[in-house]
Amino acid sequence: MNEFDPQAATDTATHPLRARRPSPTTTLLVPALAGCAVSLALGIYGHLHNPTGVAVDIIGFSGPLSAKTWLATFATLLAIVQLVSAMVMYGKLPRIAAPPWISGLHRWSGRIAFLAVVPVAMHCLYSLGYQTYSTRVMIHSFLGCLFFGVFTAKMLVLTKKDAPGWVLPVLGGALFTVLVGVWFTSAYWFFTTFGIKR
Amino acid sequence: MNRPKTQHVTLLAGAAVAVVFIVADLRATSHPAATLSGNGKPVVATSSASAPTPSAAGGGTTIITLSASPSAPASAATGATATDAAAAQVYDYSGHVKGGGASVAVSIYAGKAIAYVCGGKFEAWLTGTASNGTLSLTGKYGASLTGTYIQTAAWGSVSGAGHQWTFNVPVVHSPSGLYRAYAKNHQVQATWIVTPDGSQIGSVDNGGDPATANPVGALDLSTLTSTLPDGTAVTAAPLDASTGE
Repeated sequence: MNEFDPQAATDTATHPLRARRPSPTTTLLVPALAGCAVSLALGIYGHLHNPTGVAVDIIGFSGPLSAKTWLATFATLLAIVQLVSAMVMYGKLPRIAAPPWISGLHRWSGRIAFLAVVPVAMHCLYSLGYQTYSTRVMIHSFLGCLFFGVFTAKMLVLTKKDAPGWVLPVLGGALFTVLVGVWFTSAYWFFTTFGIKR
Repeated sequence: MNRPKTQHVTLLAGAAVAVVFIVADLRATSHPAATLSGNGKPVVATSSASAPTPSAAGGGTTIITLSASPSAPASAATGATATDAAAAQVYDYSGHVKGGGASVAVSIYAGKAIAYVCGGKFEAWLTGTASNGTLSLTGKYGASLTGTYIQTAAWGSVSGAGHQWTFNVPVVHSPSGLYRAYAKNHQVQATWIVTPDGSQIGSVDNGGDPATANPVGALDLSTLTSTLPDGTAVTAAPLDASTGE
């Protein structure tokens, strides 16, 4: 973990390899560009692709929108687990010491949430497309594409041990905020419009 | 520091799931004549038939049901930017009900909705509302239809003429849709549903009693003419929620 030693960065004579260590700006460049590329690619695909209106059904639900609604709700609940476990790991919850399993909980709840929203996004992009015909739909389309870009950036930053300490909390917080926004503009709308149904 | 980068694995797993779904989607919506699957067999996906199992590697396939995805691409959907019921624009949907045996046509216009379900020997007419994405229709003899619609598809459940089905049908454009013809001074009415796979089903009634519905011969879509079972030649007209019922 503590691989980065500020003094070593100047000590290029004795550690020639470290001379090529990228600066934090360079470190963040690739994740940032990759995240932007993912968001843009999804948005452009969703906009240019002719929405088909139909797609494969997922077993056990009355229709594609209700299936998506529940998967998104499941992911949003896991996102709350993400937020709380991250706060515990960073010692932000008073009087709660981080138990040894907390990072495992954070990782796995995140992975499961991510895998749960991928089918939702695929249905959105394939069947409905990037749309702007109402404020809700416009915000949802934008945030949905943004989510996967931020997620990509966060995953890539996690592999950079020399990233500044503030980056992960900022990306994680952004991810949580965006997902909640996506949920409010879709699942919450669905539940309040059609009622809570399977 | 040679630990495997689990974050990369996570991203790749997500991409793999996405690929599985895109492949399944493409195969579920591919046109029968247009696509060959990877193993060289033609993909035959009609609205009542099963779509083939997605063959792409990776998890996630088990949650995909293989039944009843309407097959025809709902074309021209990008042009529609109207919002729900506020739009004074006709939306027609038609296709087979899940499990087959009957077809359903739904047409909405300015908050009004009509629907027709037909299995040849039975039929049901329904009228009602389409508002905020919700379909709510009723018909004679306790027929009812509830469901959801968006610009490109409608789905839900419909009951009538002693049957009950669920459906998930795409928006359609001419010549798919609903047609009606009258005979004997409007005493006899024949109705056809043309589904986006090109097939059609129709019934002829005698005054609206579903118990007396009979299958009717095919409608010639180029001339919109047909012959009723009693030999009467009729000419049909397209029907939608802006004109009908």
